[in-house]
Amino acid sequence: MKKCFFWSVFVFVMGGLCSPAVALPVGIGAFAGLNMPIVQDDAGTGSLYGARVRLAVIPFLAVEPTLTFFNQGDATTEVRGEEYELDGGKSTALGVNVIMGSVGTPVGLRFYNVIGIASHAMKQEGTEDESRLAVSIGPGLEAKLGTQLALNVETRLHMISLEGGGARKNLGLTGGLMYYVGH
Amino acid sequence: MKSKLSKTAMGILLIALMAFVWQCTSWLLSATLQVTYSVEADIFSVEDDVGMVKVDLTEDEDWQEHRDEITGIQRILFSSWVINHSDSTAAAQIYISKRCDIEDADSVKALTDLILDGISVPGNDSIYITPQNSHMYLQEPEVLKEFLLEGEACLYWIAKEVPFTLEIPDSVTIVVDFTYAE
Repeated sequence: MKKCFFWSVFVFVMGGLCSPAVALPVGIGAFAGLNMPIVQDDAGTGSLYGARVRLAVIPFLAVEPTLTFFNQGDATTEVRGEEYELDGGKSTALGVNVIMGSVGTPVGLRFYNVIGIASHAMKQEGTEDESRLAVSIGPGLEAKLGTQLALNVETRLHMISLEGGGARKNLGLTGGLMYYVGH
Repeated sequence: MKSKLSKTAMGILLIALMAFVWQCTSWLLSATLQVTYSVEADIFSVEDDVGMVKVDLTEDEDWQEHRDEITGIQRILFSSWVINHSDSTAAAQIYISKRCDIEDADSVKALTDLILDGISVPGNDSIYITPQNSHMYLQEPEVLKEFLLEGEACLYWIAKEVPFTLEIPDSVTIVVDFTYAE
């Protein structure tokens, strides 16, 4: 399983590097969507939203400082025959994404890959507030709506490390708008 | 010289990248597990005969399934009725120990660890601690985590004031959020 994951990441990275290379302008955008826990008994589906700035480094590579607010849905548990909603928690993440592939091109529909690293300030009732490292990975698709405006959708796997080992895994499905300057 | 340095830097970078991917793999294979454990026995607690209940998470099927994979505890919540049969207000406390044979309040205070405090119950009245507000009473979550990670422990109910007469109907329900990695 670990070997399989290693090679999946390798193919993912190389796939991004081999996408059509074009010059990138600077983009300013916002996004929102669903935040779905994967194999987490103590959280339900919630939401996430945030803002980002996309900066070109080289034609096929951009960096993206991003601020994201994650809300975990409450978990339902039954105690003495009564159902209780237990706080799923929330976090504020400040991070940087690396965008591999063609984004911000003048026209058309473009695929790209994202790898991100972030610091999550986590809060959940019944636990101590803590700051944890997280990584995220996933593909995105961008459609130009004009010369400067673009619509994008992303599917990202967010892995937020936990004290003592292990991580929370969340699947983020987001849609967003990006306004490009510098064409 | 420059080439040698750059090869060394590349080597270090590659090792760091592989370590990072390895770490991500272990994160990918982890999950959270919620175990709800209930003891349904009425207990009474007075100064010379304190109420005790044994918590044994190892009886839980989910815990048994993941016992060798558990990496930590994220959160502990609990639920319990506490009835005060005294005329004056009681500040109920819960202590924890590996020992299950302690009988009087002084020994409980001396030999066990305080984990919950500030449960104020008016005289001849009762309160119900819900899973949502239980964290407000938790004094030493790290101590409680240590005990519950091992699966078994005994809980003792006493009150700061003496004499006291507490009744704990249906004992306690504990909700524990574990993390585990396959």
